[in-house]
Amino acid sequence: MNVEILFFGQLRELAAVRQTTFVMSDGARLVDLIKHLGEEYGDAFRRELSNIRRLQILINGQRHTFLGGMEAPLKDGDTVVLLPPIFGG
Amino acid sequence: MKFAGFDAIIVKGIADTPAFLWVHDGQYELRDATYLRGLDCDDTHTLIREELSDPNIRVACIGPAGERGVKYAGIFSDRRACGRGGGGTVMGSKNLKAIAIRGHQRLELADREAFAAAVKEQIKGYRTNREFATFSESGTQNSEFTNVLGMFPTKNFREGVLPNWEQLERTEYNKLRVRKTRCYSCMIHCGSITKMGTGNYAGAWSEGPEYETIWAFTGPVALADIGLTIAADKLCDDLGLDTISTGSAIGFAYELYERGLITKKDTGGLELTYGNNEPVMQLIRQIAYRQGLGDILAEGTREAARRIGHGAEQYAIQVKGLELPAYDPRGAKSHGLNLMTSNIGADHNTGYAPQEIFGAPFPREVDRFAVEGKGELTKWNQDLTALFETGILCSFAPSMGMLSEEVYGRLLSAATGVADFSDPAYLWQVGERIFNLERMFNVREGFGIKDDVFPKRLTEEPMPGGPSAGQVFEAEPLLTDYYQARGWDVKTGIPTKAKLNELGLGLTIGK
Repeated sequence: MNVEILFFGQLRELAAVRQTTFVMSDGARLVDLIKHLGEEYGDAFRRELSNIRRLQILINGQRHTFLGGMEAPLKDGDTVVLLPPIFGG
Repeated sequence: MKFAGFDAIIVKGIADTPAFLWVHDGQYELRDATYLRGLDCDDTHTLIREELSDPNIRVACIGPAGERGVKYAGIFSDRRACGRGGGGTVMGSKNLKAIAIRGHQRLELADREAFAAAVKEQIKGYRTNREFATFSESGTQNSEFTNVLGMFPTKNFREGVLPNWEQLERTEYNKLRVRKTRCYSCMIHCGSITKMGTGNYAGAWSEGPEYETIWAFTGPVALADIGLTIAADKLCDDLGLDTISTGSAIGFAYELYERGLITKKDTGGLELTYGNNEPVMQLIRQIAYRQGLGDILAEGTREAARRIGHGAEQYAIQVKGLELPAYDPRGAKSHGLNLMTSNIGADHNTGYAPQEIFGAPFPREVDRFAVEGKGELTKWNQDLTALFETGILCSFAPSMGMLSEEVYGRLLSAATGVADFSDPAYLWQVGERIFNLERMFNVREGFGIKDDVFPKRLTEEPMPGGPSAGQVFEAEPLLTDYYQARGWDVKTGIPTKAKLNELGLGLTIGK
């Protein structure tokens, strides 16, 4: 199945891409995707990902904490957003 | 103002001819402002400082919009705006062009040592806050956080994602930054001077634009044009307009044009079609000077719709006459509930819900689409805002957790000598009391449950697509839950006698 990823901030710089599509196995969970991202983009990306406090992970616009956390199931066509702290007023 | 020896200024009556108020070191006088009539805010600042021979005078003034009674005229001090709610309209109605202040007095503090110690705690709270660096760098200059939530109002709140919104991302504004700016004595420096180098708006600059303004001139016309956000921001600042209501009024006109409720005859030949933002700068000027279509848009969308008729009312996206800001309530229920119940109309700053918009974990994490518990959360956000604003404090720091009620209370207590302020429970009661007192002011003026209403678009039309697809704003259960949390009558939306007496507001009963 295909999962679309959107990067922002430092994660985008380290990934050198704004958005990309990953092919995941059926039954994959968010934790699998995060592990996959770390393998794809290397140590610096992995470190940044683990260091960002208050990182918002959205799956189709909903926070992952309300979808099962890191165990949230993914399905074909999902969009995952990795959004560091950002503000509006 | 405090350095000049005053805590607040109440202006009564109407000047016979244009005037400005000159306040300095315990004294005040009305001075002739005839020569300032018609000038924009920039020139007004400059000429008042020249007349009084002091470049350090602080000025709060209105522009041509306020002089002409545009219902959403703001008050402008240098490049900062008191934008919402028509404060500039009120000044204009009094023939008051500006208030100029200069103060040299020393501030008296009840306990200087305790105050200094609390300030140290405040600084520590800012510096160690995990959001400080990001907010200090970019402030609110971005559009991504609401687009990824599918609640960036587009085409007059018909859609929740703006095409090509990536052109309005933080990184794009960072490229245009000339320098950082800040409010008096603030260590965050969240403001920016931004300038276009190339394109249609080459040379245009402004302090900002902030998030709301970025939305105001893109979402309503369905075109992401970073240059226009900067040029329109500056133009509104110069002419003295609230960018949010201005953009919303323009978006309202675009929808009426698409539906044939107004035509080229009404627009003076302007083509108000989505994706065409060329008319925006002209419409801003027309609104400020009350020319052409701008004359009716200057009344605000509620009154403009009433005059236009033919069902235009349903396209006026407002509450209590104040246009909604850059958040579609269908994507965040507590945020929407605040817009619905704010005492000045649809104002996000009265009770912003960072829990829904940014995932803030205090007092708890919430599901932005959920209805349950949103009444209590909205009350929490509104009371928190009121208790901090009573100290004339920026609302960003507390909403990000940089400044706790405990430290804030120590600051207030040390400054005033009122020991009660150091008790957070007392502060919370102050916040609740302020909100209820404002509500009772509105009740006295005839407001109630009939005014806590959204346009049907938000309560009956599911969001058509994007990350908030299918959502509506569930007004009835949300509002009842809110009234219950507030201790108000669920049938009238009026605070109960018991609640008012509990808050020491018995004096408002029966008024």
